[in-house]
Amino acid sequence: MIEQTKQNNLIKTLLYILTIILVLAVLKLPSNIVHVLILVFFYAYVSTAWDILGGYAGQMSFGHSLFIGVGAYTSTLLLLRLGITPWIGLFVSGLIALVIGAFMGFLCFRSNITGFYFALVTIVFVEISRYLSLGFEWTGAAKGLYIPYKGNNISNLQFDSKYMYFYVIFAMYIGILILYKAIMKSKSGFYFLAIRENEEAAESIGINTYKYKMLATIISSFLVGVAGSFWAQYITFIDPYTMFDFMLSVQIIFFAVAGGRGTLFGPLVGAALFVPLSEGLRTMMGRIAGINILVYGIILILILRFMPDGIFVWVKDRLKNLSHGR
Amino acid sequence: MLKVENISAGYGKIEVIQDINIEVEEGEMVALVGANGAGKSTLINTVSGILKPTKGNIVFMGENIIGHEPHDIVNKGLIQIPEGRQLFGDMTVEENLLMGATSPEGKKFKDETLEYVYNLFPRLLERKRQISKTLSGGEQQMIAVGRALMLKPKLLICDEISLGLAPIVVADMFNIISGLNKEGLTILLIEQNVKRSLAISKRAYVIENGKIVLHGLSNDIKDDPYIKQAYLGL
Repeated sequence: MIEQTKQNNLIKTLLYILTIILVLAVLKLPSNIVHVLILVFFYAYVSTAWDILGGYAGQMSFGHSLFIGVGAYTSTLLLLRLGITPWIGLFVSGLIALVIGAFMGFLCFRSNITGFYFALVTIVFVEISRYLSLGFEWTGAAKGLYIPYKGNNISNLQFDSKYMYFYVIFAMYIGILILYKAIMKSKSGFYFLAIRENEEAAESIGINTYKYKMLATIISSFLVGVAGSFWAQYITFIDPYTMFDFMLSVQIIFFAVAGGRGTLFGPLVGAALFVPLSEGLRTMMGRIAGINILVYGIILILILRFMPDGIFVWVKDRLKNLSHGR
Repeated sequence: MLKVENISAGYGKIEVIQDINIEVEEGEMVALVGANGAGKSTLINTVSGILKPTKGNIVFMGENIIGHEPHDIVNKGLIQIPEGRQLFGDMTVEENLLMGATSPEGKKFKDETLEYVYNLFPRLLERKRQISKTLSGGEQQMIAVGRALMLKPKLLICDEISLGLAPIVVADMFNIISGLNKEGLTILLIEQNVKRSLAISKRAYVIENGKIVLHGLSNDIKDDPYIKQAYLGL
């Protein structure tokens, strides 16, 4: 037991040191590497948010790009049409995503649509949103929306160097970690787990499964909505095909599942391993279109076969066995 | 305590149970017996609010509970041990039990009830840190009973608690249930094991094809020629 805490403290200290090094190193790193780091933490953030619903409460959403898209469009439209700062947009995006998430949850959970059927409904929501955003000139239709550069200014959430974006998304990621941990320890977290483990049993001991599934959905959709706004600010161009993208939803799930579903650091592990891999593959073998998706597929099959609980859990178990001398 | 009046219910257009009347008095142990597909589970799911009846009333402690949500009904003290145990397989024994202490009433007496459950099933105390799905069928059934007791039931509905257990474990389980009843807990026993449930209950209802075909004192039913032939194989 004492060995265990010692080991945990060591790991914790290492994590803090790594964090500090990372935060300082970003200032000196070349911008293409900072870009990859931003991607890593963006995906880690979104996957963690997905994991609250998909990993922790066990409701497999295949449509989380919906909330990225909604967030991106909300803040961008507020900025372009009404001149409202993205900082407020960030929050409003979260709220709108929450409302849409609540509507989706209401439709599904009220009539007991779960599992595969829930997954299908979430996919349909993404498809509908894409066609809606394609259909109106007001939302930029197929041309998409472009956020003009207005100078390096924190109130516009626009910077001329990448590292500022890194700090923003990094802070967001730390925030979501704290929140995730709080949820894990809370009564609601316990209920989420009960619902994932056995919904019938959860119902039989008096848990309002509808209420807690809704709660997980709205927390998750709010958080992803906020990330969508950040994303739009960072890439400064959004269109229906890249935002309401089914593959984007799959990637979000992929990082969480590969890293470790229902764990604190699983999504980060997944994103930290596979975002650089995918970026690398794209630059090195860019001529072979879709090679990164092919490699993803193969890796996913291997992980599910050999580490069904994800890389994070697999490594943790090995470490535990090692310290017990087995 | 529980009064089921003229309840009809089913799935879609198919009516599984028709005009069921059942009554359970405080402190009683009542058995509801019947073969597979007779409508026992449909009736119980209707009582616990999972299924909405097409007609009839269900009165629990003087209050009509038709239209109430399942969690609401649980909080009123009508607790069901679901068929097939339905544990949280990856949680430990103690975690499973503590999951039961979620109702307001259960929370209040959490520590006392936990001790009570461990007294009732010393086996669970020995294994409280073990992952529940690694336990034997009988032990898992103990967890399911314990978890239900953690909710401080006023009426406990046991849905097929002898299902899939070894005969000797079945006998133990029925003894435990019988003991709980002697301590004053009202119990509605849903069973396929007709012989044993008639032996420990005071009154019984026999359900066939969605209708109550016979009810009365368990002792009388045991001697009913039809029951003897159809259920007891005598």
